Amino acid sequence: MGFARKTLFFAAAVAACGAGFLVLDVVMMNMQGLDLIFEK
Amino acid sequence: MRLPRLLQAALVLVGVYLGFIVVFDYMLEAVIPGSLLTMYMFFVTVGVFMVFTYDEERTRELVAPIKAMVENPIYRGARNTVFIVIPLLVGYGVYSRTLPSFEAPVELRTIHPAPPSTAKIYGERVNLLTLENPFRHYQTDDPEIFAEYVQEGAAVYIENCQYCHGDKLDGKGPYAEGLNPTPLNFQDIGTIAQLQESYLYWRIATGGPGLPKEAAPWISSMPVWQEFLTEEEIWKVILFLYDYTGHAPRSWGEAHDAGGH
Amino acid sequence: MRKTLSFGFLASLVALVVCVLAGTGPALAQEAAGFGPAPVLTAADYPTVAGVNGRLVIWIVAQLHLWFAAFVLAVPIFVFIIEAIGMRTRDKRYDDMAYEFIKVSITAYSITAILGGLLLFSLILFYPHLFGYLSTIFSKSMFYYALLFFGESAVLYLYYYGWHWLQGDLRKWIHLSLGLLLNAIGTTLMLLANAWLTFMMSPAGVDPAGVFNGNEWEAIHNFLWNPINIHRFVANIAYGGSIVGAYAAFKFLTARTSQEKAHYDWMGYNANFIAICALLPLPFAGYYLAAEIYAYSQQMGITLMGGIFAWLFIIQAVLIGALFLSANYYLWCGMGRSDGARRYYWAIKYIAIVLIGAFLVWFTPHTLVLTNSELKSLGGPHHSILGPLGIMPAKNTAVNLMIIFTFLSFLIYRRSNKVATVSWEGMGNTLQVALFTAGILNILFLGIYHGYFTNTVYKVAASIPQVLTTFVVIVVSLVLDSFIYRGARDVGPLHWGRIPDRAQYALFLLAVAFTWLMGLMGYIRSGIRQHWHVVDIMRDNSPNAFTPTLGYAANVVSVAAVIFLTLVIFVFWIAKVSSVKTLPAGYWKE
Ligand code: HEC
Repeated sequence: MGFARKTLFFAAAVAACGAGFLVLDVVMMNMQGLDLIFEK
Repeated sequence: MRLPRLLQAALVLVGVYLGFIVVFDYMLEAVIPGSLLTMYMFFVTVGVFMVFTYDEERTRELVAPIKAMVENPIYRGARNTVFIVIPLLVGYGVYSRTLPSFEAPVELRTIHPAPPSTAKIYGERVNLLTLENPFRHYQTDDPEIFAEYVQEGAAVYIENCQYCHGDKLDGKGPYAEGLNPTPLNFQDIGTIAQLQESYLYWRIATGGPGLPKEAAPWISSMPVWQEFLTEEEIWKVILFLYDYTGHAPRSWGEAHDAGGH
Repeated sequence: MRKTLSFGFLASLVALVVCVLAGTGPALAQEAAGFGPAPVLTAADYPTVAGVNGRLVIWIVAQLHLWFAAFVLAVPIFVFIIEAIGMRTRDKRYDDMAYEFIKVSITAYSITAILGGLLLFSLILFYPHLFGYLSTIFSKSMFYYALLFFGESAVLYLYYYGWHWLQGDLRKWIHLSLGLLLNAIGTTLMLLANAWLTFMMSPAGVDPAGVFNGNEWEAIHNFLWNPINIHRFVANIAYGGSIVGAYAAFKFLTARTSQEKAHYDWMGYNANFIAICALLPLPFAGYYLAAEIYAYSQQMGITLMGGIFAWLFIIQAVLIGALFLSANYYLWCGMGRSDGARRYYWAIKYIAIVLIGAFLVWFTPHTLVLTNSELKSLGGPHHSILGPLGIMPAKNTAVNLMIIFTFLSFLIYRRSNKVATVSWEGMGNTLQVALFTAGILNILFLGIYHGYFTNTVYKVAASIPQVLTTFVVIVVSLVLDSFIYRGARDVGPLHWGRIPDRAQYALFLLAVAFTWLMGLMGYIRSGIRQHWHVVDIMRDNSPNAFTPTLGYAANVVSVAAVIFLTLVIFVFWIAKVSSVKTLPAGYWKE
């Protein structure tokens, strides 16, 4: 892979993982399950 | 040319040390406390040691100059100098540490002592675990009335508190300079943002004299406000403190109902 | 055929244990009958015996008992796992190692029991009324506890002495099942003892005067029981691993032959691996416990984190950091066992920089110790830069980074002796880097955004996605790595025993730091009850009810730790002596 393509691939991968984590954040921050743990 | 590893290690340490001083004391203009800097540097040294010694070959390279200095007769002069200078330095360190100074000893003071579970306020025993701000619910129920209460709280604050806690609630009122401990800065993320409203109520109503034992030495100049303000005024000023700083009181929701307490 | 048979045996055993455990609940919730209120005591109700300070005796004995118990409960857990690994891989080295572990714990087991007896006597002698009150409430569980101890000993001895007897297909399965049973009993013992001490912190099943309603299960299942259970369970494993690691280090340093060195190096590596695996989730179990203490009582919570004990938390933070650092250092040193490690040496200094940086944040205290001139120059006790590092969101972020980078150390350790052969290796590595990058960014985002720009509920809540991010990064990258290195070839054989002696001292440090840490934190946990035997129900009116100064407490814990470590060295030494044979010429008649 050339440098440009490599960088592009890396950026895309970071973005994809980042998006995944963001979904995780949103779900966890809004889930009622939180209350089970912290606000019994 | 590569620098000898011993020199590299020394340079890293000196660099980090100077870095801390330059960044904190000069660039950010907020001095780094000596006690903390000592701890920081100790662990930075540990880290440098770890990185420079995890491999046998590198370790040998690291200590080679020291070994050579001690063992190789060519460096006798250097060795003797070092062997004289190091004890002298240690001696000087001990001397300057034991020299009496006029600096007051540092205190391990507790800024947020644990509240008692109940406290006597306005002649009545109140349970601080369940106590709530009677006006808080207007924030959602009736924002207009809430805003009015906050306004009244602001008036209480300006009349009574800003001399010490400052008109920007940053703990820099006109009297603040003269007090030790200094009045607290409510803007700081480490003060009211960490506390429940009942805690504030207790601290405001009973002031410095109401501090429990572990907040000793008891020297806080915070007045006992239950002698000057009404209960409602205290609750309203609390509303104002949170409203103005934009912090929210600490809350655990219905934690206590299920707590079996 | 035989395998399925023994599986059935195992399964029914598990089912049996579960039934017994579940059955105790309702069984204990029986009739209520005339219980009195908690006794109100005066100073005269606390006997002095032989002029010694009762509190001090209880403190030290309980601590010693707990250290040994933690070790003795933990060893069977990983011995069980190692034995199972040995059975699966049919690699006898694992079996031998498991046997050696359990051998070390046998002497420790009797010391645990002796200390337990000593603790019981001391409680009855020095705090008779407290013990009386607790034993009316926990009458049944204390009785079962004593009985279970019989079971524990019987199974342990069978497990240990039967090790070489129970070898071979079916027999090995029976032996493994014994190991499982041993763990089930051991864990139940711990759960019961935890119930008594958590009852003292968060009493349940009693009214405000302390009158017991007769439902023992309610008293056992009190608010802090499970948080403590989880925390202790995980911590015991890490602790057990660290002590066994110290044992291996001890043997390594005293080994004469290179074979022995290789064996104990391998053992030390495995022990350290166990310790790290349990260490990684430990901070979260700790936060969960602290959050539950807060939730139960703000007063206890603030005493714990903000009051006088806050200074001990700084020491705690330093010690936890020391654990992480020594575990990492051990891994780095261990990379020298492989000839392929050099390829990854460049990464170590960056890992070190992040680890140290996160560590500095991790122990920055909330309340700074300032000299007067510093106070003046700052204009008050609040530091605009360091202040925000003193509170939870910063600590959470720091500890998650420390965990991720410790894991990274482990990852490169694993890679050091392997060469990937898959065609997409480059792409896979890029993916790995991307995963770590995104994970770290997310942790920073959560820490900074939620930590400083939202209210407390979110601040605390944000720690959950942070933890999960760490968890996801670890799991996904392990999976990814296993694909990248599928069918990989080895650089060469691993040179077990090729590790600097310094690394062994890192293992010692791990064990010592752990011991001290447990002592200090245990003191805090018990100290936050302050002047209560049972919080808000039974007051401690002894002359010793005050909270001692930090220096005094730290000294007591340190002395206790030294006693413990001396005993541990004795245990190691005894294990060594037992295999030494002297042949005195001409002593016995021919
Ligand atoms: C004479 C100066 C002075 C005045 C006037 C004053 N305070 Fe204080 N206040 C202090 C000091 C000093 C402290 C304690 C600092 C410490 O203990 O470290 C304090 C502490 C507090 C705290 C505790 C905060 C915490 O984080 O624990 C609250 C809340 C508070 N003040 C509110 C008020 C309110 C509301 C008023 C007006 C009704 C007021 N103060 C007026 C000096 C003052």
